[in-house]
Amino acid sequence: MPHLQKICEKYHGDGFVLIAFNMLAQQNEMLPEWKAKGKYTFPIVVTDDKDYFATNPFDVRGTPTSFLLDADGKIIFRHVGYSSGAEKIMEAEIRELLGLDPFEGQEAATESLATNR
Amino acid sequence: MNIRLVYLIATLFSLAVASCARQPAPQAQQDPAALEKEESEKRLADIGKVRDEIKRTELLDKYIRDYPKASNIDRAYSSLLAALYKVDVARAITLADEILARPRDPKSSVWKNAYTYKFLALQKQISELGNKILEADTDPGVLQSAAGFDREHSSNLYEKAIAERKKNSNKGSDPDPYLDELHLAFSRKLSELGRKDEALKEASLGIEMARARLTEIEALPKEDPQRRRLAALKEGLPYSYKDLASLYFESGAPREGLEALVQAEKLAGTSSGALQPSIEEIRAKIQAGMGKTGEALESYTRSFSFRMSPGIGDRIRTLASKTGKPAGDYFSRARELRQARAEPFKAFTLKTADGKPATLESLKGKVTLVNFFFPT
Repeated sequence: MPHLQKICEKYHGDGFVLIAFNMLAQQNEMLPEWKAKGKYTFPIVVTDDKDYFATNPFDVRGTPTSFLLDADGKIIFRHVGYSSGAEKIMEAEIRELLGLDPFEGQEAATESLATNR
Repeated sequence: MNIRLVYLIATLFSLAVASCARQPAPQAQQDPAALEKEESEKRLADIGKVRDEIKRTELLDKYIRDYPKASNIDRAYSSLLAALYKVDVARAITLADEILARPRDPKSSVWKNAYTYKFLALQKQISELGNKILEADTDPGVLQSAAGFDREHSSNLYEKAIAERKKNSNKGSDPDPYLDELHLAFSRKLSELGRKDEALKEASLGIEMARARLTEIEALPKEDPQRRRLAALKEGLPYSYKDLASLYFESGAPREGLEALVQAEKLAGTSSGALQPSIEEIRAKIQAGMGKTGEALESYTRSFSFRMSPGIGDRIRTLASKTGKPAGDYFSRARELRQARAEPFKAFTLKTADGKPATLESLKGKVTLVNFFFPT
């Protein structure tokens, strides 16, 4: 999640938003602390339905799963699970949908991520 | 000047001896430091000639005790580590730790050697444990887990794990021995070890077994507990075919590779979002290897339409420059493919953790990343 927060801040002014769905209602009460600890500013969607993960309408079967939607609300890219290098790819895809050069400035971006750590 | 020279060839005893031999004979008025150096070199060189490692260890121990301030003491320690790791792994580790705990002399390489011999000694211990399990144990799970740790015995451990599971299955004590998975895991290990031909055989066998198992389980009555494996089997098969395709490609069988990819695609069905970019990437590699640049470009473009990997973008640029078509044409094509299959995100009316309304409509007009997660 920290890298998503960074991406969120970086592209906020370009017309990009991040929204996160908590798929486990049982853990809703953990959210305030979790959010404060990570200094997360994006909205978190919750439900009271304890079976939401099993019955969700988005066909999400595991976490982390991410969908990248264009401005028309259509799903253009999907990321299921985690793999190395996925952050770079996701950023390129966000840039593509924002009409920016997808791979421009990626080296600089990774460098600043490394020094912030 | 001589000190420099000796340092340069520090770890090579024979060379060190040779360089000393070429020096002029010592004279009575030579300074004490040079004299000490010469004597120390000779003592250590003599110990280096002893072939028996246990004896050499004893002599090096004694040398370190008798001449703790010798100019070549660090080399004596390095030699001791080298001998110890062969005869007494545990002591080699202890000694390496002692050396690593000391303040570092930047001119000496003894601490670097301490790291190297500690790694070698630890690896030797892992290998010894693997060997012990291989000889004494019959539990397939233990054997398989040991194969993951001990590289040296991994293929023997896998072979034994397979044999033991087969035995259990024949005896009836394990009706579902997951043999397919074991062959596939063995195949991945062989591939990692660079033994591609054997990996290919294991992968083919594993897939054949998994398919047979799938048919068997599908025929079972609805309430049979063995049916629980059905979903995992179905989900795993396309991945196994994808790995098989890579192995065919690496073994110089491109046609079989392409066929395996067709199988992977067929079994993955429409829910293959995660698999499709790699299927297309492998297909592109195979096609490029066959000299079919145009088809390879098409496959890379499809892969890029699913996942914008920088590496795939580079491949498209490189191949496009060969055909004379601008790379931008392929990137536009990828965009079209994405738009053509894009489906609208399902409408929802929920609330955020702060109690604000959250709907699909509120996201319209913005590029949105929707992330599904559990807080941990």
